[in-house]
Parts: sequence; structure tokens; C-alpha cells
Amino acid sequence: MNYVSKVLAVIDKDVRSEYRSKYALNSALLFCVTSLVVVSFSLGGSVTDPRLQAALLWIILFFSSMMSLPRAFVKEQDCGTMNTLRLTCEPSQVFIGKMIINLLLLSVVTAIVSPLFFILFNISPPHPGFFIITAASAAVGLSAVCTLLSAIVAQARARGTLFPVLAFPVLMPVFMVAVEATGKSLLPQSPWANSQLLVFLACYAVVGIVGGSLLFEFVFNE
Amino acid sequence: MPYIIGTFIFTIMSGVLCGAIWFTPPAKVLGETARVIYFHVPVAWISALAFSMSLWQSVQYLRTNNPEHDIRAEVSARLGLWFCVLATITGAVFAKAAWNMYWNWDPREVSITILLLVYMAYFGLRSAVSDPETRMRLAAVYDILASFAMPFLFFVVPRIYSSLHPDTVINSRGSNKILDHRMLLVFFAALIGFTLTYFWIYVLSIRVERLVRAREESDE
Repeated sequence: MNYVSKVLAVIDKDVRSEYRSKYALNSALLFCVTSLVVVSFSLGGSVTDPRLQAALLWIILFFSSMMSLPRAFVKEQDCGTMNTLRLTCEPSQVFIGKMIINLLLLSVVTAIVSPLFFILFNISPPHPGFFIITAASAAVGLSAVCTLLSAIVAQARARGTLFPVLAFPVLMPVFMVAVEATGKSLLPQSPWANSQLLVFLACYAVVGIVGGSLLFEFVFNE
Repeated sequence: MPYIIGTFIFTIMSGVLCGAIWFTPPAKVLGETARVIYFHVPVAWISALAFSMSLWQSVQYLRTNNPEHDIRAEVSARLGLWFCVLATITGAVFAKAAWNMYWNWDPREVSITILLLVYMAYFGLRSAVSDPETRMRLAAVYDILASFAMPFLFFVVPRIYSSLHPDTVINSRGSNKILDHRMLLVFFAALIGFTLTYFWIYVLSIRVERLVRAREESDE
């Protein structure tokens, strides 16, 4: 099997097991929808500042990814299937495969939660294209870094609390810029003057993928 | 020999302390509060130096798998964290005096907070892994991963948030109008003194850490 087909095999395996249990997707979606309802219920229509709305949306998305993304490797460790992965694939193939799975998960969650958020907060986004590019490029950086960290916490104790502690400082730049860019996309004037924010998110995503796949080898091989 | 070096460092640091209080004149714009520069800037510089050292030793650990590099990385990160806390406190006290607010999310304050969080997480990770070999490996990887985020923090955050940090005053053109030669003398003496102190504590801590680990191994 060549490189790409092994990556696809890793993705295929995870999609199948996720299709059977629907654990990761359900827990992420439930968490997101619950926190969205809590936020919307407690604030109502009182939040009209676009920057504040963007911050709320990203806090919800951020914490739901903290809940769902570590599962990529924690699951393998708990089921005792980590060694099978080690035997069958190169580290970088596993990394890319798991990263794409995490990216898919994050995209589905974002695609469901963002429209709900806009409905509940009565926003009709004036520049949906800018928002979609922001969310997509932030999701790539997020899933690359979270995949590496997931492999790290899988080998540690107290994973549930450790993961956000490790992830937050590293992902802080993405979080701040994503909030800033989303806030700009909710304003009536054109956000494309701030396209350097998107360039930043893209750069972070590239660094995350390259750095992640380089470092992953050291985490994965024992 | 260690006593000579110790005495030398003690002399420099005493000189810096006295010089910062009595020898230098108050600054023109900031007045007496500017004396914090002789402590705040060297302490911040040391935390940057210690974190870079920790990063370098982590890279070396992954290359060689020699536990000695992990000892150095851990000791350096711990020192960096302490100096980072000192820099945060001295900065906050100065901010209260100069801008009447301990904290206002100035870009420098954002980046130092994230540095603190990164290295607290680093020690959190270390304490969460029980197997020593795995702990060293994972800690080194996290140290390097965190360093990837740093350039984004230092180059991008200042473009998003405006800064009140007096560095921009001091580093801009005509800087010598603000710092006269006596202030520069004490300032550079402080930088050298703090750097020597750092290396002194670093070497001592490495020896302590080696003994601690040797004892842990013999206990098992």
C-alpha cells in the first residue's frame, strides 16, 4: 500500500468505528448545543456587540473541541489498539489520518453550531464567506495541534483536565485571531481589508501541520 | 573557585542594588518609578534566556535520549518560570504606578501570561506521566511545540492590540535622551549581574536535580 492509501485506511477505520458508536460526534454536538442554549438563555438578545458575539461563539467551539478532539488517541490507548497502529503505519500517516478525522469532526460541529448561534442571537451574517474561511483555517490549525496533544495526553494520567491546560496556551494565537476575524465579519463594512488575519490563520495551520507531523514521531514511537 | 565566583556575583548585585537606588538620577518622563527598569528588564531577559535554554536542551534530548539534557531542560524551565513570575510582578507594580492599573492586557502582558501558562502546563504534564522515560520524551515534545506558537504571539499580538509598554519609548529614535550614561551603566551592570546569577543558580540546580533523580532511582 502506498502512502495515501494508508492515510485513507486510518481515516476509513475511524469513520467506521465512529459510525457504529457515534460517541465523539454526539458528545461534541451535545456539549456544543447545551452550552449554546445556556449562553443564549442567560444572555438573551442583550449581546449586540459583534466582537462579543464572536468571542462567545469561539468560546463554545473551543471548549467543545477540548472535549472531543483528545479522543483520537485516548480511544486507541484505552482499547489497546495503539500497537496495531504502530505496526501497520508510519507515524506521519497516522498523524495525517487522525488530523483529518479531527478536522472532519470539528467541521461538522462548526457547521451545525454556527447557524444555530446566528439564529439564537438573531444575527444575519453580512459576510458569510469571510466567516467560513476564518472558521475553516482556524479549524485546520486547531485540529493539527490537538491531534499531537491528544497523542501526548493518551500516555498521561488525568487526561480530561490535562488536555485543555496543555492546549490553551498553544492555541491562544488562533483563538485571539479567530475572534478578531469573526468579529470583523459580523460588521456591516467589508472585512476583506483585514485579510492579513486570514493569512495569519493559514500560516499557523501550516506550522501546526508541519511541526505536528515532525514531533508526532517522538510521541508515537516508544 | 566557586567562592570567588559567588563573591564576584554578590559584589555586582550589591552594586546594582545600591546604584539603582542612589547613584542613578530619576528618569525624565517616568520619574522615580522608572527605577524598576534595573530589575524588571533583566528579570524578563533572564526568563527569555532560560526558556530558550530549556527549548535547546529539549531538542538535544530528543536527538540523543540522554537524561542529562532533560535535567537541564527541566531546571531551566523552572528557573524561567520563577523569573517570569518576578517579571510579571515587577511589571504589574510599575503599571499600577505609571498607568494606575495593575493589569490592562497590554501585548507584553498577553505574551507573558501565555508564557506562564505554557510552562505551568509543562510542569503539569511532567507530573501527570509516571514512567520517567515517557515523561522526558513528552515534556521535550511539548516544550518544542509551545515554541512554535511563540513567533505568532510576539509578531501578531502587537498588531491587534495597542501597546502602552514603555519599551516603545525607550527603543525609538533618540533613546539616549531618556537614559543618561549613569543609568545605562547600572542597567548593563544589572543585565550582566542577573545573567551571572542565573547561570550560578542553574549550575547548582542541575547538581541538586541529579542527586534527587539518583536517589529516586535507588529507592525504586
